[in-house]
Amino acid sequence: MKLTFAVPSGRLSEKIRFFLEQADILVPVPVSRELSIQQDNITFIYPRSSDIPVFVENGADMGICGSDTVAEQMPEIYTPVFLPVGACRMSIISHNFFDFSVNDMKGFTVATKYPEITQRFFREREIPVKIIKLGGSVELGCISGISDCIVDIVDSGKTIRENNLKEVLKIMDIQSVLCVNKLSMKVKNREITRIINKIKEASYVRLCPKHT
Amino acid sequence: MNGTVLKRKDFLYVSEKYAFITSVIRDVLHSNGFHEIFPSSVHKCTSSVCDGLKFSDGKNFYVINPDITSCLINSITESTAKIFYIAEKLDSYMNSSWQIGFEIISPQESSNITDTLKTAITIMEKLGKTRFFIDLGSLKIWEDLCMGVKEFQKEIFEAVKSQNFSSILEMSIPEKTKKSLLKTIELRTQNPPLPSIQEIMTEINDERLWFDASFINQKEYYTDIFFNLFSTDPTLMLGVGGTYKTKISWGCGMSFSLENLFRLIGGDIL
Repeated sequence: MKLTFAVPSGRLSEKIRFFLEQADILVPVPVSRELSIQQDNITFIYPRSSDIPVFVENGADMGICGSDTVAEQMPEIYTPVFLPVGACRMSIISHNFFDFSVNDMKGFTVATKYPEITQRFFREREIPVKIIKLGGSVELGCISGISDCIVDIVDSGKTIRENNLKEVLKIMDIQSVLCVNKLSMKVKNREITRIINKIKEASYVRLCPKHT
Repeated sequence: MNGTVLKRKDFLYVSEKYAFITSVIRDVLHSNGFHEIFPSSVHKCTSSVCDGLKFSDGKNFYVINPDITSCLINSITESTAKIFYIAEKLDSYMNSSWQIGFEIISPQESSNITDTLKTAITIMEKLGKTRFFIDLGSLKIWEDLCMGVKEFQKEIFEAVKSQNFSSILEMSIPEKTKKSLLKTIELRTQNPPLPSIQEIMTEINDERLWFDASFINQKEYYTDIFFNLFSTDPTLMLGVGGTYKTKISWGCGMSFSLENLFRLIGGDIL
């Protein structure tokens, strides 16, 4: 049975391709501007990571993206395996010279690429904030003064340090996650389960190197 | 050119097809004693009615075109009713989808389910489609399994919803419970271990009915049994439904996606 597998283009693509290779899933490298490649029974497509839940929810059988994207979009999909790839965190970030805790943030303006996660976080703590959605370079929200702080991804922390910003509080841990279309899980169960098991095995080997 | 003909999707063409599909479904529902209702588009946003496009007039929060069943649960005061509706549903991103849904309200919880499923099967057959499946799921089977580990129930339900079995293995719960949970997750059968589901399947006696334990539906108002109706060629989710409690009675209903029915049979309609 044929499968469609969405693999992210961009920052994480190399790491994910390398990880999938360890799981014995060879992802072809697109040449030039190729957006999809057929290999054996799998059609690989290469959307942006943030679009992968949309593809999987609406027809692609499976895909890999960041857990931040899934948490933001809350799509109707399965996420059976978290991959030991792309680990980072989402945090509240502000100017170095600001000193406050989350409970002091009532009325703050928060800039973010993740309005849903941000809203949920503050709503759960009953702290009313104004949220501004930005598409990229979120740090500029703080630097330009249009927001009091930002909610964004922190990887090594280099960008925030170089811009005189600091991490106030971690909101959530993030890592890559395998997404599976709910209906495909029923209709193509054998093929999908085989891939899930391969990925689980590779994740286990990666997390416990002694296992090899 | 590879010879593929692009299907028309303009407003008038699609409306014509939707009209055909709804007329077939209306006929089935009318002949089975259902009557049509006309729900309003705007509802006050409450904890139970919040799934839709939200807006505020400066005083209150409202929802436009929310999930109809969540509105009906609070407004129906009759102990028995058979109703249906055709309505547009909006999500919080303003994406629109048209639904045709029907609800059976009566104190007989079990017969509500069998009647709903029988009606759904008749609708599909009248639309000329016999290749479909209905998967039944149960909340109770998971609640029973979580009995000794109540404090983990939320996490377990989340793990089952996302099919993330590894997280169950990592939970601090007895090994015996883990084994039962993992065994149940893989259960897709026509001989379910739950007498209530077995009774429904025996009563309907249709080989397209399956019990899929791994399937936990998202609607918060479902009390125990829920189901989805889907086709495999093409792979489309056509309808979803389940059981719920009204103020004074029990209900069971399901809604079909007009868009997916159109994708399934649009080309067959002359």
